[in-house]
Amino acid sequence: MVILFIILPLIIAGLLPLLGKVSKKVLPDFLANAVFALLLGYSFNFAWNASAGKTILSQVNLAGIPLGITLRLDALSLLMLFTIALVSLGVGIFSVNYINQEKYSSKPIYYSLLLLTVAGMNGIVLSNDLFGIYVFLEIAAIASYALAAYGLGKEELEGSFKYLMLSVVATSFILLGISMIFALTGTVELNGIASVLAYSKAIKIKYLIGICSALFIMGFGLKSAIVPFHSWMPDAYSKAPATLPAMSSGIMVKAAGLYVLIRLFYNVFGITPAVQTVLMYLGVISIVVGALLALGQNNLQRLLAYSSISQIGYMVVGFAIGTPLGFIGALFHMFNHGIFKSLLFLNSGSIENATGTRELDELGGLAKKMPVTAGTNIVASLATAGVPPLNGFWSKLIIIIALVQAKFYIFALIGILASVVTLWYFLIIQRRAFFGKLNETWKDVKEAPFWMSLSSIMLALICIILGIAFPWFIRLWIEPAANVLVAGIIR
Amino acid sequence: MSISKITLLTIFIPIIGSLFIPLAGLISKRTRSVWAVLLAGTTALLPILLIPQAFSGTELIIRKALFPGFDFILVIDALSIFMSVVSSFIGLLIVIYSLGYIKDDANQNEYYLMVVMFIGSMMGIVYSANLVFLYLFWEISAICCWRLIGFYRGKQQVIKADKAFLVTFFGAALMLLGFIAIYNQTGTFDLTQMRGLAVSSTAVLLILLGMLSKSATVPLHTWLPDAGVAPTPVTAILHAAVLVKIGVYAFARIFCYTFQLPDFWLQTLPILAVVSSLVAAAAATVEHDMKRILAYSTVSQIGYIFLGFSMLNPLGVTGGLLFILMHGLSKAGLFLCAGVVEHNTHKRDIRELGGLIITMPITAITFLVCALSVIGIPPLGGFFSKFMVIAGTVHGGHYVAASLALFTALLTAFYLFRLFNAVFLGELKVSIVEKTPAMLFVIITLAVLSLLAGIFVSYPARFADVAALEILRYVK
Amino acid sequence: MNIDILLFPILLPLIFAVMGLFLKSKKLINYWAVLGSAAVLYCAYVLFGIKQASLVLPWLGHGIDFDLKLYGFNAAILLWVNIFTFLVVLYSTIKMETSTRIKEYYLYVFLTVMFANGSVLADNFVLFLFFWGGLLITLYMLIMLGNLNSYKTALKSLILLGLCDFCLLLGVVLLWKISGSLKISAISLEAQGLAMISFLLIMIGAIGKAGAMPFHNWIPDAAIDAPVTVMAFLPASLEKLLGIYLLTRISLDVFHFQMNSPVSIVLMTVGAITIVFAVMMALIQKDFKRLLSYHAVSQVGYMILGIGTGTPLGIVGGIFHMLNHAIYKTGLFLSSGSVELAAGTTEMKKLGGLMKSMPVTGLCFSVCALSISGVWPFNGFVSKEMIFHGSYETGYLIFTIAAWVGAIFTFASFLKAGHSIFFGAKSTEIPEVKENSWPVLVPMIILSAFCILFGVYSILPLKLFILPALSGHPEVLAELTFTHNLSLLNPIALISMGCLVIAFGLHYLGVKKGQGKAYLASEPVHNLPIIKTIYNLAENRVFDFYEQGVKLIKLLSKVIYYTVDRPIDFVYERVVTVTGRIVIFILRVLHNGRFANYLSWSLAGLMALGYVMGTLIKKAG
Repeated sequence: MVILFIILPLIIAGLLPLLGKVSKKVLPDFLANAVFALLLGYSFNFAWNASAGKTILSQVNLAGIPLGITLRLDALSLLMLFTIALVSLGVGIFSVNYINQEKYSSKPIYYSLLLLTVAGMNGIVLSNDLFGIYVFLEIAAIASYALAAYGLGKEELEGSFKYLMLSVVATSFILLGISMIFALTGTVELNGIASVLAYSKAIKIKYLIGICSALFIMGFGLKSAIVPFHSWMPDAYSKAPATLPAMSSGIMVKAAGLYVLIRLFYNVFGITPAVQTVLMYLGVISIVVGALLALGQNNLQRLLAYSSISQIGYMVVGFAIGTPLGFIGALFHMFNHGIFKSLLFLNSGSIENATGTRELDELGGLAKKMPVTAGTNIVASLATAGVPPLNGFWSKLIIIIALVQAKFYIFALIGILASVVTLWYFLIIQRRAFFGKLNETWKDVKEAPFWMSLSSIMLALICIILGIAFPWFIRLWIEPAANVLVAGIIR
Repeated sequence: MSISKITLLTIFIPIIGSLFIPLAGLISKRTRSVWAVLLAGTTALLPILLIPQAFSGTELIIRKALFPGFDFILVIDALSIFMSVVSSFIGLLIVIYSLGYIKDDANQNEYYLMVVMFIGSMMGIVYSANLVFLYLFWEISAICCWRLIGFYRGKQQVIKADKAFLVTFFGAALMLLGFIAIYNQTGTFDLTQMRGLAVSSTAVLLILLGMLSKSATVPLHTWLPDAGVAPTPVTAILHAAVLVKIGVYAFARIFCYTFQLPDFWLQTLPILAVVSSLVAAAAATVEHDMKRILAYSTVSQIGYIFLGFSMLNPLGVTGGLLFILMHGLSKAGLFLCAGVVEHNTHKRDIRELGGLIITMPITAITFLVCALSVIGIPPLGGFFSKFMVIAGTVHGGHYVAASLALFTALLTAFYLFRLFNAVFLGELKVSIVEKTPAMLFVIITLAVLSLLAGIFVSYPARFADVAALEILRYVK
Repeated sequence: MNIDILLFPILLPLIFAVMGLFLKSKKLINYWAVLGSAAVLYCAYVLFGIKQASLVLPWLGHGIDFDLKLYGFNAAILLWVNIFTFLVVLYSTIKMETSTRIKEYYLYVFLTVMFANGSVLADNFVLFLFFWGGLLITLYMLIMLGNLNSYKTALKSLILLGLCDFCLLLGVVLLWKISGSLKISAISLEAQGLAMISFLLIMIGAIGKAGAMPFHNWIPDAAIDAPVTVMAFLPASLEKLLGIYLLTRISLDVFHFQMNSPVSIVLMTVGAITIVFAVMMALIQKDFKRLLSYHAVSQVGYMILGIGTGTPLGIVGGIFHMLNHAIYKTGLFLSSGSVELAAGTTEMKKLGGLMKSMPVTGLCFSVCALSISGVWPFNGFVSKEMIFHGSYETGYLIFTIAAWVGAIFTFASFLKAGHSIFFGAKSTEIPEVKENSWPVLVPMIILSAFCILFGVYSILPLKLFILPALSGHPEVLAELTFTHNLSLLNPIALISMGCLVIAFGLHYLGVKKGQGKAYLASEPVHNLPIIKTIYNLAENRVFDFYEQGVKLIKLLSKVIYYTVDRPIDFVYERVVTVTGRIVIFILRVLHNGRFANYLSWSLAGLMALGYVMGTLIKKAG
């Protein structure tokens, strides 16, 4: 029952506002997290199947009548489902305490938005047609606009608005691209498009596909915040509840952006050197610009947003290499980034929960008062910077190896140097927020509540465990997914 | 116990055991201290059991398959055993010394956690024969150092800690790129399969940057004196006596033992080493801060080790290895003496100190003994190591380098005695007596060992000889 | 356990040194020290009888063995080292009585003996360096026993001798590289090319230890700061013995050089310069100990000059002079100590007419002083004559003249010292003095006796101690027969006697000018026009190798620090951060939060993408 991945969160999302009337807190907490846990467990159900390289195509029917919608579950989409479920579980557990803050009004509605986002992302990942992707993209996006503005402060609304407006531009270009494809091939189904394109050799089609590629790179690139389409991200994140960027940067930019891009380029259109070159340069520019911008930020979440841009650059570069090792590295980094970046955002949520601010220069010496937050933050920071023995190291290492093997020596050097800058800005966070002497203002600060700490610890442990047990993880989850990309155009 | 089991325990007892230190700290301070000393003690003891293996002249390779290219490989030979014996032993002394030094400070759990884990990562580096795992342990040690330098949490300390971390990470990251370049050439990270491989100059440069940054060699050295400024002498020695040896060890393991260096580097390295030595010595002559002087002195001495190794002849390599031992003992002694002074007087500027020999005779004498050893005056251990390095250099035909190295030795004598005279002799400015027996015990041990290492030099020398032969087996 | 007898001279002092630390009473320590030095002396005597022995133990590998070898010459040196030690220790029992650090003192003395014996016996250069370098530490510690400021002098000695030792080390290593061996007795090279550099480096080590210019500056300072027994022990006797011993070995056995070869000229020049400049400094000193210490430097010049001549006569003279000098200079220092002990000062201005109250000291001083001045028939006369003859044979008259000039001022300065301290009018500035007790006097008497004995029967020491040094050099032995019937009436001897007359004249003139005040006797020379400026510069330490060297080192360090080290740090601390900040500032300005701005980027990006894609596809074809 592949459809469960979409239906379950959708149904619960619909029910929650109603059930919220009965129990304002406990029931939504429980239900939402149960859904995430269930989805996580359920994704394991397909793991062996997928790692054997099988693809499940399932027709969606309503009471036995086919709706003409096909879902596609292969190793790549399963990896995405797994990541989405894992991160959203972390975020869900974190929200148990976090959304108790006064400025966030209704918990049931919050959870239903969260579930809606997850449903949307799962939909994108599973859809076998461009139109489905577009629809679910909008579902996820609208839910996240609402989440971004959840605190209803002035800046939150402004950020959310900017996010919305830019996204609309992006989605309209995506729609344009989809319609061009439809006009060109007469179908929106991925395998349909693939088979049509595979047989057409006309130069005109190549140009048209080129234009579509440009449209998609811009549209989905904006969703995944690749420079120069990145500008919405810091503004949307800086004031939103910490859980939104955790979800969004952790998984949404990948599911709604990167995933679709690589799916289209590698499995549908067939990769061309032109696209590879473009992606490579965009990736490297993202790495550098993101890292440098992060260096100068004072707002923790803004900083992390820029850091995300930089890290996504690594994934883009990894995918653009086009070698199996590149795929493995990029996919692994995608998963890892989901874990540690959402952990970082959650940490900023913990800090904000305790102190009421996210401005670095107002913080200081919190390690003493908030050991769990500080400890998990170090783990996540070092993982992001690519310091062993944490998971981020291995994925970056694989990407760099792939770059060197493909003879992109300069890009490898830039990647390495950017990770030094990455470490630099994370050390600045450490220095100004945690390490150092305790700021007198915060002498009464307490550690984050139980569920928030639990979620942080869980994610941090994943970082550490994957740092040690990465070979098994790669074999079970990453390699099959990479094989899907290696296999090329789908039939 | 089998050799391989002992080796695995040597690495993993401190690393995993250190994670339980905060838990032990929850029970009581005493439990934690005992546990930490126990861990360090075990780690110091285990490599000693391996010494017979070292003298057998054979190497043992342990291989645990993980992921193609990323196999966990350990190499147990005279070189790795030598390094692990030396560094774990000094590590143990440092832990004991800390019992006295930081007993009144905050964050002790973290401190012991980091120190013991550092020792463990050092063991990991020493035995790793896979470049990726070498790098992995390398960075663990960097993380530990970062926390340790910033131990006191003052703004300045934390900034310097960050600087140290960044500079070493910068070097290490480039080194990783160098490793990858080699991987690209050979298809493996396994050092044991690359022996005698000729590597490109670019790869050498990249890897060398990592080693230079870790071993604080010009031009990547300034983090070390800055780290010395951080008010924990224990961390300072950890750096000076153990950490900086990582780079030179890696040099021996990778460039002497495994690869064939291009001619260009064979000619350039001695110059680099001597220049580093000289610049640091000059800086030590100018500085006024006790610990900065000693840190620069470390930089300067590391130059000698590089010089010895870069000669690739038995004398030079043996000398370099002996230097690691002798410098470890005596420089640790110097730093710890400075620590005793600082702990009691709360002053580090040598202009504010003086005449302490009257109130702190033991510290003064141990300082003097260690200083003489560092300068290289017989019958102390430092003489032999310095002599063999110089002899190796001359045998390698680098006469100018040898002369400059000796000039540096003279500078060493000059600045160390400048320090000694300013702190311990002359007019008494702060009258404070020695206390904390744990600290005195350690400095006396180190001074006595520096002396014994000189008198009974033939034992470590034989060990170093075996290791040197091991290293040079694949040099053409 | 079977311990080789060759180890005894090394192990015995060590045992006595360590055991001495556990003794409580001062008296006991004194007895213990005398006993110890007597035991070691006996041991050395036995070895002197054995003459030939060797011991090789494995040590460091690479050809670095624990290699001891005894042969005629070093057996003699060993004997003399221990004779002097015994005498000094005996003397110290009284002289050092007041010192609170007597235990330390004997510890260092015994360690010094150990190192000295070891370096005399060593037949492997590394082992030799091991013992030789150890002397640095004991010397440093011994000087530290002096007054409050002695640490500066101690450091000075350590740095200067350390420099020499490092040169020596480099020379040894170079020699190793050239000859492939470290065994001293096995190396035999021509002093040419690299070997010459090696020789010169080792030579610096040797003459530095002996105290030649320019490595001598610590000696006069130590004379003031360090205990006088230390001066008698190290600079006056042991270090001369060791330094010249090494010089002899490398000049005769290890390297060969011909008369008037470049090496020979270098040695002779160093010797001549040392003689003249040091004696000039000695002349104007107003403190007895300081005066002696400059002479200790000046006399080294003779030895170096003698050995540097490369002629058999000169070499034998140089070695003989080493022995003689050790004898009379120790005697002189001991007498100055005796004066200090009795009168509390050694400043000539305050002293006077001590002969009456301290006849034994005065007599011993006189003997030694005449000896050092080269007056017939004392031992100094014989060895100096040999050196004059030797240097004359080389044909470079200038060196002989320098030696003569030295002789003039040596005698003049001792006339001045003796006149002002022991003779002349009684001084009123010091209280009534008494002669010292026997442990102080006996060493001086013995040494004076040697002065006379070796002067009258010069064949005795030559045969016993000096000839063995030349074993294996038959051509030298053949000519040596000439030496012991050195006619008193040859032109050279007459000239040197003339020198003594000139010296006397100078003294007489000086005293007359100084209104009868003997300590002003050197003033006329002091005040000569050009010489006066030179003296002033010297007093201001302009010629002090150490002071100038330290200044240079400080300057050099500062230059390197501010031109290399700080700029590198500046890159990390400033350049990197500031560049980063500038880039960040630009990027931040661009990210101004305006929606329109962002939208335009996205659209521009899209256009650029489309264009790039188009061209790339076109290119791909």
